[in-house]
Amino acid sequence: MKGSNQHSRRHFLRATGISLALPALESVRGESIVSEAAATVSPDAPAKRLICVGSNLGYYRPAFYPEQTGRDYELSPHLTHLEDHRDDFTVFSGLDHRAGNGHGNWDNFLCGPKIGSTSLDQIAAEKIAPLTRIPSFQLCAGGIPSGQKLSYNRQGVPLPMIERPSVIYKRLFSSAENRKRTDYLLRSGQSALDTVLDEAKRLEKDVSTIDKAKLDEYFTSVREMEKRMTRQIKHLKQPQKKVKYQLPPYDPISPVLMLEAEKLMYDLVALAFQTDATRIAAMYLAGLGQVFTIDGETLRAGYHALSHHGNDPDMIRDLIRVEAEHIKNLNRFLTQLKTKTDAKGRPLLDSTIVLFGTGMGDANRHANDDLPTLVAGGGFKHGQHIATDKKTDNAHRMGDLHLSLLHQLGVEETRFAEAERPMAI
Amino acid sequence: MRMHFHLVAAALLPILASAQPTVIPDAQLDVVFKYCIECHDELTAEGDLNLDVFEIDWSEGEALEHWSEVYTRIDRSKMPPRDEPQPSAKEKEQILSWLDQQLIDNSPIGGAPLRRLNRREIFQTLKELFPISGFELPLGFPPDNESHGFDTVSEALVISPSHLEAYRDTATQVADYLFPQPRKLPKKELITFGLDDFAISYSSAFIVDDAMRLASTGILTRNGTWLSRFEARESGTYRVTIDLSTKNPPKDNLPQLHLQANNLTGNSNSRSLGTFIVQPGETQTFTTDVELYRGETLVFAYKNAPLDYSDKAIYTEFLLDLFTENPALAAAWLKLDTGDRGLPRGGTGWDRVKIEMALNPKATSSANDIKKLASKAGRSNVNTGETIVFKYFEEGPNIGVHAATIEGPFTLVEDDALREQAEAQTRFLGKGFAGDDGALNRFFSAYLGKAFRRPATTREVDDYIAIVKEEQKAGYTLNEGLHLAVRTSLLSSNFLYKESGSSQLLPPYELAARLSYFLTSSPPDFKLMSQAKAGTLTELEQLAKETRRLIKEGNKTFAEDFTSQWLDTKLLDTLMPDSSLLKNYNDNYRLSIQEEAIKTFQYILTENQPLTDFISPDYLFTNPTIGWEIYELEQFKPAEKAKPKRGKLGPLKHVSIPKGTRRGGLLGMPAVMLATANGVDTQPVLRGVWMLENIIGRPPPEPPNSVPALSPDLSGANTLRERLNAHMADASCASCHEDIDPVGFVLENFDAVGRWRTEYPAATSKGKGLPVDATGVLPEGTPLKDVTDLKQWLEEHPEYFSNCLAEKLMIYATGRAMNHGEKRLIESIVEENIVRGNRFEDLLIELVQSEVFRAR
Repeated sequence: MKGSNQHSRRHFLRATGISLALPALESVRGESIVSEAAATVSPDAPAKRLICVGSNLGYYRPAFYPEQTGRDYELSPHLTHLEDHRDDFTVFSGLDHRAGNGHGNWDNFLCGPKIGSTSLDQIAAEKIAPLTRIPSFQLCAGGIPSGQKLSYNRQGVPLPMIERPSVIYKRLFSSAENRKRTDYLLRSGQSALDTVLDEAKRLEKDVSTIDKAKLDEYFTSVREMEKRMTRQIKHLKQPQKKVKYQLPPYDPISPVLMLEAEKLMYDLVALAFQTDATRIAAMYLAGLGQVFTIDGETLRAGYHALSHHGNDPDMIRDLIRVEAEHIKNLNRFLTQLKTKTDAKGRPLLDSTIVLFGTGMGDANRHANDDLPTLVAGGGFKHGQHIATDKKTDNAHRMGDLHLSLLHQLGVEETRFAEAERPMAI
Repeated sequence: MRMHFHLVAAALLPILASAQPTVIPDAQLDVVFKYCIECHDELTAEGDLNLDVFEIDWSEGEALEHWSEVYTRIDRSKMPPRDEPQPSAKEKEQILSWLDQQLIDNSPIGGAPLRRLNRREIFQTLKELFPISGFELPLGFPPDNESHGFDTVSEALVISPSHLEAYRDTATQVADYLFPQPRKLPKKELITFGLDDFAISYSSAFIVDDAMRLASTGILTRNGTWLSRFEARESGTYRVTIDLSTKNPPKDNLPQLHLQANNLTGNSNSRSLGTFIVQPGETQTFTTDVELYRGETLVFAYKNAPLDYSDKAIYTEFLLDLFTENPALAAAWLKLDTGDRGLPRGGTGWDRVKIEMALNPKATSSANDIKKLASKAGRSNVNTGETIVFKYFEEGPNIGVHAATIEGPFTLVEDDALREQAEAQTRFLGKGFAGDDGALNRFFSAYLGKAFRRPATTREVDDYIAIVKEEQKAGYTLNEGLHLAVRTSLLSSNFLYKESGSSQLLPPYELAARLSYFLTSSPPDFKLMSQAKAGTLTELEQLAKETRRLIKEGNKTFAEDFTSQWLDTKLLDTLMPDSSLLKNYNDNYRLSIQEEAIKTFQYILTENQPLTDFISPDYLFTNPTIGWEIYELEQFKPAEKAKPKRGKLGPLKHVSIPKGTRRGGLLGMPAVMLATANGVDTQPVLRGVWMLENIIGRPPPEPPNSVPALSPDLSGANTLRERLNAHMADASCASCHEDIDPVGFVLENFDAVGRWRTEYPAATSKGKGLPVDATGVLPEGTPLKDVTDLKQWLEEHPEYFSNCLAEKLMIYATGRAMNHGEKRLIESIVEENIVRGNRFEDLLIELVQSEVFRAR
């Protein structure tokens, strides 16, 4: 990894002077503490919400990419499942991060060439999260393969993904019993803060001047946390938005139920967007050895084995059947976003960007180039297949697309990793 | 290097900045005016430094730093710039000796602000405080800022609201574990499961003729099935029924269905619930009462299945018998198993074989071909096992699982985790804890004493008892009260900050904490606390004794935490060497490489070896893999046909080597060579900076912001050295790079993983690489022909490395950068230690006894 070079250089830079990186610490744990006033997205931005969906094993490119480019392209086998939304998405071929290959490099899906750089969803969340109760969601359908990561915060910390729909549901719509417990923890927690403030005041009497400055940092943080807890208690009292939604009595975390989990996750994201609980989500579609049953027929090999199809036509046929289920689930989700409306009564999809892609270009070879990608909604002028040829001069890279998405959300970044030329959509 | 230790005596005790400014005497003023003032006058003030002054006001915030920098630049002949008139030796001595004394007189010893526990220390402290096995900090717990190369420096250890929230969440997690909410018996349910409720993973099971068929044995995720839509909500008793049948069972070995419990992903250890012998004929219903633990589901496996493809040898024998008995199968397989990937995995492959067998039912193959086929298919057991198992799903022997029901929970049971949790509470509160006033008093006196690392005051104990009583008064339980008390204590400034107070030397308890966190990253143990209580710890002899004890008793925490930051070997965690350099590199390989640095440090310290062993030892720690693949030591040359081993590398062993050669010590150590390269190429500038910073102890000032790093292209025709010569052409680059680059080049014989080379990699596979030129020059002018020269020089001048390491240790231990006076004090300790043999433990003890360590 070339990155270590920079790392060391920065390290040596640090070695000579103290860097008090307080601003960089402000969004530790992916939970922004920027005050409401600090949300710097323009209210006029066409897009308000972002969901990034990444599939571990990618998509068989010949089934995903249309043969023609431009507006008059013929739908590819995968895209036929999205026929209803043809004018609401754009399909991209030839984009990637110009990074290396291999299992590990999947993680650069939302990061750019260097794994661990702040991911697209988190860059957006830094600006947009202060507007909502939950800063962002990281979800996973189908069980997380060891080590695979999706979102990274500003500190390069990978954010844990939630794989149980029931856990997300509880965060969105907590039961009366849970709310009572949360309320108790917050209120008793406030009295704990009173106690520790008294203790710190006693400590302050017996310390030097420079120690007092350090303690000021502590006092300020305690008081700020106290204010946040007051806000949280206030929020608990507000009546909950009523939704009609029933989860199954079990969590579909068994790998064979991945496609079922995927549907539920999409449902919950749509609900979260509708109730404005959050505006940012990232979802990982896992892929292991599980053997799927599709339309009542159990496939004769596991998903992972199919992805290493060795160009065998029977294996490819079954792989396409699995992948088509992902596309159908997306189709269902896009329909939901068109039916559900925002506070002003407009379809959610008009102001929601759906980035649907993968960090894997060709799972058969573990190649991470030429990543099948699709963007729906978000107020773009859709309906095209935009092809990029990496070999041409000034060819766009994936980061350019990420940059366009950020701009559409009103997040005025000038660069995304090494990319700085937003794509025209 | 100039030694002024005789001057230090005056500065033994902390001095606060002088009230009176120091007037610069005429002689020194003359030198400044003659050589400095043209650029550093009030108006120009290059580098923001104004030397157009007649006195030094030490109470000004940065005076000490500024004048230390002036001293260093003149001392190292970095100022005045080369192309300006230079002071004579006498003039230089005149200004330097005067300034040195002024700096010493005006440097306070100590003075770091209140220091909070860092992430590592919080983790270790919570582990000591709470008996929670497998305790981990929550994901996303904030990492710490680094300063001066370490995560222990108080100025960088800030607290933001997000930090406090993370501490609060961690405290709640701890309190929830110790004082859980009471359990409730959920409503009893009866659930019926059909075939689509069973999981299949890889080719672990398959539906044939209205039953989920099990036909192989081995790990669950490849050889079993489990319920995918059920997990026990609470640990309790459940009634289970299962409908089973068998197809073509071996008469002498009736199939046994092994009923087990596991989680929904099937990836933890299965817990056995019972075994059922399945008779031939009609479907049989089995009923059994079992205990299921929270989160568990039911697992079904064919315990004694004839097919077991997990062991290659057993599986190959099995295939040989199978193919010999079924020549048509062998012939079909041989015909289809072509190309890179052979037969498709799973049922698709089996379908092809069946069609081929139907077309050519009489086909045969030679015994030799069959043997070869069995051997080949046996080797790729995972692939072919997933295919052949379909024969048994369809034909048997197999077990068919038709349906299952679960009813419950009837009663709650305590599982292992809950039992452990209950025991943790007992250990935390003490046996027979009654919760009355006396018990609460005893508990909080002990607990707060541990949490605050000093005896709790009566006031504090009363306050915490009051927290519990208030909760009880408000109608909550004793446990809720204790839950809140624990949450409160972990947000307290008394817990989070150490080394508070106003005296200049640390009082006993604070000293105990400093020593303990320095050498163990953990809070002081019982013995240290007793010494602190008795007041004996501040006696220097006793302090030395305790230091020796902690070095001896301590595990490798200190060696690991310190070396990974001092030597930058923590960078290896995120670095992947190119596969052309190390083929079998993996996490175990990395751990072995990092371990070498840790073990070397630990050995020199605990065996009290000379510090020169870091530079030029007659031993090193290695294992056969690294000993051969990187060090290329003949004794580890593998036998001709030995296969490369995977998995864990062997333990590191003490290996004797000739002294004074390229091998051994930190220079060239794989961990260091990896950390100072980028996994592919070497970067002499990085290595040069690393050498000056961590070995020679002359860190270059920070590079200007506007300059990008040179990115070398080793394969090109112009050498890296030629490219870096560009540094020397530009005077502003040269002033630092004339020190950095020549030292970095001396390590060029070590490639990016530390393997010796005399040529750079060739640009093409057939081409010849350029020769490595590892000559260099030390900052003070000594020419070096290669790394052995450098080692020899460092051994002959042990004060450079010893001072460097001593200063690093003190920054790490005290959490502050060393000022001029403190550096001088350290130098005097090092100098005396060199006379006595330059041994590591001796030095560490002298340092701990010094004011530098004992001052706040």
